[in-house]
Amino acid sequence: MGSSVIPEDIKYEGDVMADFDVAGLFAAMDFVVMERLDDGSLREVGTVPQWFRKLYPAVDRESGRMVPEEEASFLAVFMEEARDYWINDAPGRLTSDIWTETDSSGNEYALEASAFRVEERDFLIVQSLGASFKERQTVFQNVRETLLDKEALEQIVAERTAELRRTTEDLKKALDEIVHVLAMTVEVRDPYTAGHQQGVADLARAIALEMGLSEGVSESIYLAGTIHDLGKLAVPAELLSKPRPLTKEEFNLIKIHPQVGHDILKDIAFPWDIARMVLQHHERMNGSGYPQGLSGESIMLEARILTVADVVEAMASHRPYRPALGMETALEEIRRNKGMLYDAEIVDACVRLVSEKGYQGIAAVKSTHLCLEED
Amino acid sequence: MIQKKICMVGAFAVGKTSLVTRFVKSIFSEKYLTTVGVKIDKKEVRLGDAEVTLVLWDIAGEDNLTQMRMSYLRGASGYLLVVDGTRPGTLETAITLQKKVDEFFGKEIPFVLLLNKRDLADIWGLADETVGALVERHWTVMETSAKTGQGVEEAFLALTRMIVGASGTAMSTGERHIGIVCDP
Repeated sequence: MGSSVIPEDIKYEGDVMADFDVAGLFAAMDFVVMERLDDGSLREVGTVPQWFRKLYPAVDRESGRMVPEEEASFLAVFMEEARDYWINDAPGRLTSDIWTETDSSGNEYALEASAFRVEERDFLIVQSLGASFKERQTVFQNVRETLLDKEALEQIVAERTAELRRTTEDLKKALDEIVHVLAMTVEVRDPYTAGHQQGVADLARAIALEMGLSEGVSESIYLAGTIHDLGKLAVPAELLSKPRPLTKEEFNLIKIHPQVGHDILKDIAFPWDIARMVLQHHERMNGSGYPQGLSGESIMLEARILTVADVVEAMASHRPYRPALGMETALEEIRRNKGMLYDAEIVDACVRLVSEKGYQGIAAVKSTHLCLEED
Repeated sequence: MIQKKICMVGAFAVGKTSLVTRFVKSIFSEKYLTTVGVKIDKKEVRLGDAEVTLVLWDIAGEDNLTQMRMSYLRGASGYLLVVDGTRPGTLETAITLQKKVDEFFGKEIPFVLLLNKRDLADIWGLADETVGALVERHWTVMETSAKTGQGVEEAFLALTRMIVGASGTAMSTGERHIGIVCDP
């Protein structure tokens, strides 16, 4: 197919052509060379291969000229770019993308065009790529198949992630509802402290956030606060609502509630160790707390936060055996025992939150208590 | 004989070449063979009394690495904007390309949005609302399947009518066309 004749009237000297091997290029190609004339038409130079005649029958065989601009052809578009290249006398050569055309017999040709200038004369080469096209196509094919695989994988990951997110949200919702039901179970038996757990949960979460703990940790503390007195289910109801101070024996009965709460919760697969937080919420920094008498940092941080919130909420609110002592008294209690009973950093955060930042959670809870009492 | 250049535009692997092959040769191959550069085919169609030769420029699709050369659109009378209905991301690519084409011409030239691969109903990924929003923008939207042939000839002829006009006289390329959803 085609010719390999090097046109005799093309000279290869000059800077423009110095950057590639013209003779080698011509020898390796199945091509047609055309010179651009002043009127914009193209004159064939040398032998023209048959495939070009079939693809571009518009070439005048008498004059060997064609005007590709008149065709809706790839060459017409490339000639626009080539014209700029020739006018600007740009260095090197201008090469088109590959294009594929089909002749009247149904044969497909992969082609590539190059424009170049030699000694003030403008030339165009159209090359049939033959087998080398398949090699290039294979490269593109591999890249695009890889991209398609990547896209499909990304789609699967996106779908699975969305599904997982939905499942997680459903589970969280179910968990919240279960915790709410557990909290209600305690409060139904102990209407005088109804709302106390919610108040502790709100304040404990606010303290955690004030201390710069993550949303996740703060959420876990909130959850534990909501059910921290769950173990009171095992305490006789009359003790919970006794309008006088408890005897030592009665108080010993009350003290089992962190352990009972822990035992109820320990087998539930919470994302956090809620059971241990509940177990430790009556421990004190100096080891004087219960049920294990832990001290300092052997008490988990979340439990230390619950402790402070529990004390403040309890003192600030009404109790069956005494009226509300008020927020100032509650803050005074934790300030006085800061570092001894209560974690100093947590006390500071709580005082800052209530005194300087106007935390309102306790007040809201207190008014709820009063309404319940009136009922 | 009127000759009109029509370009196939869209993301890679949306079925541009398959649509042309179905239209020109009435065949379909399951094997994906990527287009390199541009593939040019011709097809003669009759619209009423007018015979039109369509020069079909099947332009290699856009991907993360390669962008379409807008100069290929030079001389085009219209284009088919192709989307793979099973890959929603290809619609975004199509919308971006449509803007680029408008910018290139400095005006809107006739085009039809083809939601291709309609035979793959089980994994269809385009929401009705999304497509509806484009119809509201007066885009002509058609569903096609190069595999079954659904809507293919209709799509090419619809675009040719937009370009040439029912009477066979050439229409202004800037003329706007009211969109319809064709669901044969």
